[in-house]
Amino acid sequence: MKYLVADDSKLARRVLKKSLCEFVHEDDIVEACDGLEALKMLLQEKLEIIFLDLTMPVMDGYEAIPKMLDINPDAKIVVVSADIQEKAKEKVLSLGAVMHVAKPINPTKMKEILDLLAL
Amino acid sequence: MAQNKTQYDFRSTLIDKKIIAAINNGVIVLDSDLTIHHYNKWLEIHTHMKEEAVLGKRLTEIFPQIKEKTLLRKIKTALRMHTPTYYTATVSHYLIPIKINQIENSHFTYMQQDVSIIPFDEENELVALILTDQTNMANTNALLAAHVEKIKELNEQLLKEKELTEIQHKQLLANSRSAAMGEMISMIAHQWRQPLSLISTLLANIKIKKELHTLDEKSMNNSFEKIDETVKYLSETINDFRDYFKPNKVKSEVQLQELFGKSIFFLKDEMTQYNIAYKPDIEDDLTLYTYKNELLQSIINIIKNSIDAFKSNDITSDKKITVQAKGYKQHLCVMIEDNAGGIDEKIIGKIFEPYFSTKNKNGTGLGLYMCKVIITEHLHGTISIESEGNGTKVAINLPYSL
Amino acid sequence: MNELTLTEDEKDVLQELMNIAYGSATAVVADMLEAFASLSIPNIKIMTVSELLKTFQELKSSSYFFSSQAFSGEFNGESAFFINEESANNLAKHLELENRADLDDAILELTNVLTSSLTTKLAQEMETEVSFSLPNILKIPLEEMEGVETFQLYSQVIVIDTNLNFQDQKINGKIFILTKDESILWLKTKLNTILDQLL
Repeated sequence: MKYLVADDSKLARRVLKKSLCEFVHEDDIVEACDGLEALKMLLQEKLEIIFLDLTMPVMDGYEAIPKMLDINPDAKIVVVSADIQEKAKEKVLSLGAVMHVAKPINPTKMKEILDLLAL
Repeated sequence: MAQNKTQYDFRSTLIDKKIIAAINNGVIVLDSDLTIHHYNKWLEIHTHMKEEAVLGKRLTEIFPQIKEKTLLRKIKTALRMHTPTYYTATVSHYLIPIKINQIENSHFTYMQQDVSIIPFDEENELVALILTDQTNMANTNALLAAHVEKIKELNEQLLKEKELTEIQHKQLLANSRSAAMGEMISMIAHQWRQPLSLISTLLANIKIKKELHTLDEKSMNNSFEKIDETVKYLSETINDFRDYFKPNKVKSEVQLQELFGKSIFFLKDEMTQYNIAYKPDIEDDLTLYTYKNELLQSIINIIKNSIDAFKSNDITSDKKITVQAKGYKQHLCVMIEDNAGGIDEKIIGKIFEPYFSTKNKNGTGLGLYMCKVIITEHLHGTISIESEGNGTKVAINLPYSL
Repeated sequence: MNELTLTEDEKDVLQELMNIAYGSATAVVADMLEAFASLSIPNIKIMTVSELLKTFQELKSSSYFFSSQAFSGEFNGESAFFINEESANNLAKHLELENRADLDDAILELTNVLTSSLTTKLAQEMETEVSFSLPNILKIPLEEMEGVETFQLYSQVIVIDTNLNFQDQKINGKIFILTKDESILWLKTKLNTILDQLL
């Protein structure tokens, strides 16, 4: 199982990776710093779980979601964002994401998410 | 041990309740539907309504003027954020209408209130509204605002007056320039009188000799030569006046000895005519970097004043004008002194004012004023005047360069 | 006064914290206004007051509503909110307000909500508490900005500038969070602590 972490903030990626690494091997995680790079990674290898930020340069989360699903319809996209407006949640879910979670994700939260995804 | 006892007492004697009753603030506890759960003593007193009468009712029932939508929104937001929201006195004026009867601070009819809406029980959706009387502050602000307005008005007036003064000042300068022109023309006329008269005489002589058939080649050529010379002199004079009286646009090296030489050249006829001696004492090689013609004009003006003083005060003997020029470290000093009778101490203070003149109706009164303007504003120097008994001394200090 | 700067790492942390805090604040405002905001990324800089004033000059509208609110605690300072006349009128329309006083109040409320939620969240992330003073509002032409007393007090400011953007309602504004030298130092220490916890 491979994981993708996409966020323009190096720190945010680090924080998320840290939580994720408690349950998953570091080698199974790849990083991207914007929507476009994320798509490129997706084209190169099969990534099943994607942690995606919304506010990114070049291509933001909203634009990336449908494009990602085009490449890999089975991908499970978890939107991890500072934008926690109700409407934002609605929007990403309607675009095809499976979840919308507020930043930052601590290890406890991460376990919940991974459990939910496994179902 | 002792601490615990105090804490226990705190809880049991309901100090917090007593405080709420005693403080100088209104305290209302509302839920998210605006129902009143507590109405403190301060409010009872100020609104003439007992807590029993309002408990359980909605705030907007008791005070229908309150905008319900706004209040609901503020309460909801406070609960959502877990931090207070506000009504500010400056903007909203008051939430609960409380009439005030002050005589002095009577700018407002109703008490001006700051209201903090503080969420304290999220589960039951309860907030506390804390009302603070800000009427004094509001009054002071209103007064301040009124004063600021007044000051703005006065400033505008002042600016207008300043503009007017500037226009007048420009007019003044223009006038004095015209006056200076006038003086210059009369100086030219004066310089030219004698040479013109000479030419006229020579021509008349030639005419007569011709009539008498006594005209010889030699004397005719002689006369022609003299006329030629004189015409040259006239032309030079015009050139000199033109060159030295137009304002300089550039600064240049000015040798003081040469400058004074030129000044005297323009005035020497008149000085000779009135037997005024000229005593120069100018340090060798004293030079400065400045606007030549403006300095020249000022000096001529001052010396001319001395000459005019001699004329009007009818001094009979030993008339002299002394000029001294010395160089110091950072500046040079020029002193022009005469013994033309002095200036009355009553008027010496006004001597640099525009339109002030001691001369008869021919004086424009602009000469010394112009000098001062030129020396202080254009040449960045200072000018002062002193009078002792039988003479006047003018001192001019100038920097070596601008 | 020493030149205070944020290192790249410190900037990163502050940026992330601000992103999260700002997302939280926007959600509250969106709720309050029953509208949807597009989130922009906060821009963080440290600059002197004079540079700040130049920044304000570049805000082109001739007349802005300017409101501010002070906050205190270990982390203390002031937030400033700019909204131009057009946006303010749109805000009034959207909230169905009747008169000028109501609009002023709405802007103050907006300021308060933004500052409170932003700063509270930020403080929370940094494990400290803040409390707030009442917000103030001024409608002043930009030329008179320099006379605004508030700014003279802060020699160096951290300027966190974000745009509030309600596209559909055409309401946008700019938020500045300004903190004094001591707070900047405190902040740096905090940010580094957080960084250490990550490594």
